[in-house]
Amino acid sequence: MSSSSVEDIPEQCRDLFTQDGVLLKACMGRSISDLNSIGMLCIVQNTDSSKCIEWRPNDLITIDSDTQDQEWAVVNTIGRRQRTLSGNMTSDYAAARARIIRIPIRDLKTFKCSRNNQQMQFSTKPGVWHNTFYFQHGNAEIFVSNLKNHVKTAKTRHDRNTYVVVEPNLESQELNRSFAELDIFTENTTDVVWNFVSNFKQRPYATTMEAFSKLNDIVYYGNETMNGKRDVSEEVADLLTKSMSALEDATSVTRSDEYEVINVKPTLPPRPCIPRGTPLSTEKWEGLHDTEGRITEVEGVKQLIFRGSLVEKDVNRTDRTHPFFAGDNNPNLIVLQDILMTYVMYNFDLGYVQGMSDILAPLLLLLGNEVDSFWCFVGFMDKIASNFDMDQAGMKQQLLNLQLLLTFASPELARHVASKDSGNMYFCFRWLLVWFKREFSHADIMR
Amino acid sequence: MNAAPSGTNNFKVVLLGEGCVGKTSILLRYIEDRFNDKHLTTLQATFLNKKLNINGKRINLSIWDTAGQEKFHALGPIYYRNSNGAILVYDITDEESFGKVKNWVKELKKMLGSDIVLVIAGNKIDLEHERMVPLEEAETYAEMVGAKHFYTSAKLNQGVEELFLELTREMAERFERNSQAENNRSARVLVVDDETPTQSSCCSGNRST
Repeated sequence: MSSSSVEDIPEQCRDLFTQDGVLLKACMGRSISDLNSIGMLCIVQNTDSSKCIEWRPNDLITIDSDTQDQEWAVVNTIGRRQRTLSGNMTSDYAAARARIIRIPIRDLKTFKCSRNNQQMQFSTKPGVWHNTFYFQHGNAEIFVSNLKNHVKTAKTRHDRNTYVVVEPNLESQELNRSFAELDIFTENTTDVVWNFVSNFKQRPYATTMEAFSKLNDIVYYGNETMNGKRDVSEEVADLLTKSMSALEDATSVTRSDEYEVINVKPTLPPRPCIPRGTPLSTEKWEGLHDTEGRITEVEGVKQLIFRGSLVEKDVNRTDRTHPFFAGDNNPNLIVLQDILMTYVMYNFDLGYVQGMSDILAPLLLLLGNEVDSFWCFVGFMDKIASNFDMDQAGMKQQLLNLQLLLTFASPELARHVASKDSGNMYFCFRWLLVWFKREFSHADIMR
Repeated sequence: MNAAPSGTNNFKVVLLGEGCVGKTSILLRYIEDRFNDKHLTTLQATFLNKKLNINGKRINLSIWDTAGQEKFHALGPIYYRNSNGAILVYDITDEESFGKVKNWVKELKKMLGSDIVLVIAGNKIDLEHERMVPLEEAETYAEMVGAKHFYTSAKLNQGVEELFLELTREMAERFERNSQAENNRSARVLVVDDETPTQSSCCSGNRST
């Protein structure tokens, strides 16, 4: 933070915040050799005032400290430092440089802090976590609180650990830039103080807490990583710089946006997209409306939508050892699923019940045609629908009959079964439910 | 709670949870240390045995695996009655399955009171990036109902051993406590023939808690 000649050197970045002991656990498009290496996670500001989250492998830092200024070795320094790509760099260095991961903050959409502050994930596109970092010291919350100084975030409703970046606001970026040009925290200290005061008036609690949290972070972070190597005055200097820069950011954001916008803007958090198949087609949906376009069975529709996922899950584990259904992306699985989903619509009251896929699979295998298989399945289900009734009455009646038969045919066995607490014959449940389909070999079933 | 004459404790454990959350996979991992992501849907309860020796105490676990889908819910009581412990499994990528765990907890508490040791397992942590059930919510809930919470991955063999060990330890502890406190308990618990397959509902409430 002391170097004043830094402005003259091209391609310089300023580290706003750094935290070491951070492992790269996952990164899209990275070779495996890069993963699990330890490094430093930083927030850096480029010359054009745009900011980045940057991860640097530790070996890079070592190389750099050997060849460049000593400041690199001081991992925790918050301030300006130069980074140039001049000709005297070794090829090792260049290779290491290539391993740096940068996430422009303006692209950041969501981030998540999980596993007791041991893990952070970043996403620049909804539904995909591009980078996963592991914090050795379990102190990811420090990074989160620092990151929050640079982006406006909102917590998602269903997960308190996931933050959605509310705005990559160009206006505030512009303002940040002009603030940076003012170089407010080295020269215009009075301005900062004034900003603090005005900010304090507007929202005293938040401003105070923000400032305190900054102080707290530094103290905590300093203890955690520096093992007391730094002298006190340096730490205090950092503290001041940091709390000021935090103020700078807070102020600019507030000014650009009148700060209430967060609450007003109804930004839906991007949900991770979990593939659930396509259980509800347009035609099916239309079919659910009555003549006036109302949906008559709301609960039924809800169930239908949820069931979709179970059908898919079960289809993916039905007779997969048979060549007809084996292998990934087997088109016959889609047919199997489509027939079942059609049946769910066809027999809305019954819906999908586990076991149905077992009954359908041999039919499809035999007929090899979606339409024929569907109608055969319908016919078969008419026969055995009571097996799948919610109250299980059909199954219970059958089991009772079976027990009667057994008592008649082999009283001794019936007594033995009863003595083993199995007089209810529930051990035969599956036999009857899917007509022994699971009990015999495939060849025997097809006979 | 049956104490065999040899000094071996027999405990019955039941695995409950929505369809396709990984009940069978957890059990297979624990008993046979294998994993198959294409194994068949469980359509009827089956059970497997596990013999443990904890601090010189021999324990026999009969672990019941059940069919998960809501439609088979009516079968639940057949398997959870007389159980010393229940493992309630949900899939961390499926919010609905966590809701199902809550239903099971409610039902078990109502039917068995504090006779049963509950543990909750958030399975499929290998799919952490698709997590839909917030960590904190699950843990807070488990604490509230007095259940231990575990994160498991049957696929990667994470947390499974710990889950069963903790459950067994807890069951043994409770068994010790109860057998010391009251000797007529076993007689009460053994009266179970009041439920026949003809009964239409599991929740008819004929059992006082």
